[in-house]
Amino acid sequence: MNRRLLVALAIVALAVISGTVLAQPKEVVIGVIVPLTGPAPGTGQDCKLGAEFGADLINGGVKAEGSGLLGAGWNGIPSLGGAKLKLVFADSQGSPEVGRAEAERLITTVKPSGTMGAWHSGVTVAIAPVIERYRIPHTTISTATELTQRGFQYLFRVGVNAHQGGEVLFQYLDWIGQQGKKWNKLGQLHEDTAAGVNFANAVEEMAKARGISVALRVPYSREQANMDSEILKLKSAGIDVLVQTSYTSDGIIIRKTMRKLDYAPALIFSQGGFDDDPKFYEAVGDDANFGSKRQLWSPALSSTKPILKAVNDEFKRRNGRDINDNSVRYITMIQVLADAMNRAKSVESQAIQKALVATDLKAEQVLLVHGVKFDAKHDNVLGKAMVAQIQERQPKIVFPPEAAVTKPVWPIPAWSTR
Amino acid sequence: MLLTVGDVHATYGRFDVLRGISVGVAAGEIVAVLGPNGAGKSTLLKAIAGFLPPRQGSIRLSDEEIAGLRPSALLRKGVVYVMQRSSVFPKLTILENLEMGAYIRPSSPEVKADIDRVLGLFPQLAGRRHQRAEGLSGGERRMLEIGRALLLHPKVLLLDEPTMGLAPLVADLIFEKILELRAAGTTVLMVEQNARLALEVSDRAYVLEQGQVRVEGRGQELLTSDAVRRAYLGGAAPR
Amino acid sequence: MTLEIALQSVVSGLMFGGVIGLVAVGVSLIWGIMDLINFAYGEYLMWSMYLTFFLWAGLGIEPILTVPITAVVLFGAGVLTYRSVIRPVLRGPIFAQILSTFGLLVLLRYTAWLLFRPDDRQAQSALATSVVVLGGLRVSGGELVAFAGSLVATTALFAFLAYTKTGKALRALAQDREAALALGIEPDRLYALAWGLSTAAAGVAGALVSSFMYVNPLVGDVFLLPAFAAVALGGFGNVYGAVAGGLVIGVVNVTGGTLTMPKVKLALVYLVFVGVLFMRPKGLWGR
Ligand SMILES: Nc1ncnc2c1ncn2[C@@H]1O[C@H](COP(=O)(O)OP(=O)(O)O)[C@@H](O)[C@H]1O
Ligand SMILES: [Mg+2]
Repeated sequence: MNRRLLVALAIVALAVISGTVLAQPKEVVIGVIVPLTGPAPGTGQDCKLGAEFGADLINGGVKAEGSGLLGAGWNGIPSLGGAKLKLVFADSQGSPEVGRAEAERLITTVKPSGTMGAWHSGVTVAIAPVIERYRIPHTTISTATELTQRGFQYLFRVGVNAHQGGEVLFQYLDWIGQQGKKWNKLGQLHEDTAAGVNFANAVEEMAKARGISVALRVPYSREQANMDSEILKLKSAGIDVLVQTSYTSDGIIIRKTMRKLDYAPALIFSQGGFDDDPKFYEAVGDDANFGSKRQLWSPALSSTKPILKAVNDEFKRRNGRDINDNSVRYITMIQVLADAMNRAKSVESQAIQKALVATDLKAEQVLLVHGVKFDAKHDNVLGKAMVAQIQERQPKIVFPPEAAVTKPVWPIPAWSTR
Repeated sequence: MLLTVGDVHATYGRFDVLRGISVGVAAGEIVAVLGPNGAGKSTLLKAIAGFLPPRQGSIRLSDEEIAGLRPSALLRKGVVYVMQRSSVFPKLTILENLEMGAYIRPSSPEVKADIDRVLGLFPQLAGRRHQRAEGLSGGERRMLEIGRALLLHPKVLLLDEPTMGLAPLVADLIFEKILELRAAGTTVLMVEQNARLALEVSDRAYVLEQGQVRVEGRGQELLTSDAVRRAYLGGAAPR
Repeated sequence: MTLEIALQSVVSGLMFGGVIGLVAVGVSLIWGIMDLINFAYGEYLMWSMYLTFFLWAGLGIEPILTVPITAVVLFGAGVLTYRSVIRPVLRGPIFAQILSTFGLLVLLRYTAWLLFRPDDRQAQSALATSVVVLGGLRVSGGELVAFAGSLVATTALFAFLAYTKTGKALRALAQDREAALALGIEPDRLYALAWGLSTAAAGVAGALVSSFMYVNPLVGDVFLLPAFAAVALGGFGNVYGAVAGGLVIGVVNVTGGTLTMPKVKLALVYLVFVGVLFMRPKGLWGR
């Protein structure tokens, strides 16, 4: 074999190899920071399942053609030559410090084209500056008001903010009043990190704007074995509309203490958290019933939108559980990032950021009650919620009336009758 | 000799406090150790009692080498030590203190009988057996400590300044008890500040100075020796 | 604030305080006998809670019934800890001792962290959710059993210390180590026993609280910090005072929180703690 032929062969081989590389659909890496362990592992698990299901929808693994859902019928991101989404998870453990370190590690080691998380508001507040510094397009569902007040360019809130989540409470209370039902005093019980404080502040502001006074506000720190004084305080103040923000373990102790001390307000309203976590239901059983929460999704909703029922059935077949408020929002965040990448036709961060700014997803394209469209601060202007009441250990939409699947039980029955 | 200390050196770390001390105690004797403050008297007892293993030299009980044994092992061989400072357990009752004296003996009716016997020996203690020891006077504490030691039926009783700080009448009482013990067959090696009293009751005595034996002799001889009198008895002539 | 609410808060406080008292007794025992603060004590409690949880999750044993198991296992753990970690530094400087129990804390906590992850886990117990109502005052079955269990465990420990020869020797050793040595009371075996008893108390407490409290690798602090206050209140090293201190701390915590704001209840506990240290450095029942 002569020398020239050898060189020619080598060039051909090189071309074949590089051709293969070029032809191979690229992967797009998305980093997902969620609390896989720690005080809310059940919650993190739901987020993970949602993100995985969303990625599979984009990658063509979930059959949902004709549903109108974004990503239905896709086989990877179309404009990127069918590049598949690859998720890399990082565990925040529910801790701001761990979350920040994990975000940094994730960004520097796997170099994701986009990130999402971190569920806990306090953790998201901690990782936001890191995300911004590395210019990684990031979506979140954390509610803390401050997240969109600080001018972050790369952070987008797909879920509702504290105000949007609280808004529905007051609409609900108005409606309840129109039904001829009475209540006296509004009070708040909340854990004292970002999620609890922000929501309580938002509720307080909205109440004031409506001329309602918050009779009592009881913040508490999460790690404690005894919550009797919190409940006694609320009981002795006669709070009968209670706005509660708790994570799972504290939520369990609080509910048990309510039963013990015979405290049953007319309404318990939460922004999700403990009452989205399957572990809460395991621990308190039927005592979980009659609590209300702001709800962004309901399996019951799917009976009115048949395609959603099919999607939920597929999710349940895979994971053994219905889509809930956590999984649905992580599915949606995947859709939002994939949509932006598709429109950007690039995985370059500035391009994705620009595309995110222009996001305009209709309610029909996502599983959430609302669509996605960002304002100048990157809050989702379409963000809104419903009210669900836990009945037979399931969230059932009770408000607004047009979406309701059942009537609310008002007031919550006395413990002695349960 | 029942107890033989041969050329013992001992140290707390920096320099030797005992510098080649030899002392012997025959069975049934009362032997006193005298000397100025800091001479090493207490250190000698600690070395024998197992609290400060000698750096060099031998300590024999009859024919057995006992240097370096732990206090608990020495107790079982009959070497019992009452330290210079008060060592009652203040928060335990008098009775409990005595029970602790018999700690190494298995609980038995004999132990109970021995405790009753000791309480008989010290009537002041008997009536207050259920009171805490912290309420006792200095002399009563000494009695309790000696009583505690007796429960172990010592072959050799090491007493470090048994009358320190006690009123003369009480001190006399303690010495009386020591003589009673000897009469009952106990051998006693004691350190005393009150040289005159000590020499009166003891068979023999050693005078230590800077970790070494300076003078050694029969109690009565030393009491009348001019040199000793001048140096350790404050120069006063014997009355 | 009605009288009923105030009374209820006192009852709730006593229930909580009983458990704090048992934890405080365990801390106080080692403190009193060895002049040693076991900073890792909460970690033994945490490990006991994990043991209870896994016995419940794996074998379906009711949390409260795991008490004998956790007591025995934790007793062994205490003896082992003494022999392997504490004994070597006992003659060392106080700094080395503090450092070694801190080291233990880190080791025990992060071993749990690695093995179990920081997840909250909780055994479910029908007993814990049942509610007992007496004259309008309400306690949960779990709390009542934990309270009673704490009292039984501390009473048993008291009886042991007061009436057995070994118990008296432990007290003698605590009061005057050298004098004890002169009577043939060998510290080593007794120190090992004291560690075993102390950690066994953590074992009992861990099983008792598991019916109403979740476990995670950090849970030890939840009980240990108030227990330290109880120990100080009761007089450092005074085992009897520690129980009373625990009850006071429980009431300060719950009643104080109810009368003022719940958020400040831990601050109240420390206020009382600092106040007592300031006015009675030996503790309320210090002697
Ligand atoms: N624990 C100790 N550590 C260091 N030095 C000591 C200790 N006890 C005694 N000494 C020193 O040893 C010397 C002899 O002490 P000691 O035997 O107590 O004398 P005394 O003859 O008065 O009983 C003294 O100089 C004393 O300072
Ligand atoms: Mg001396």
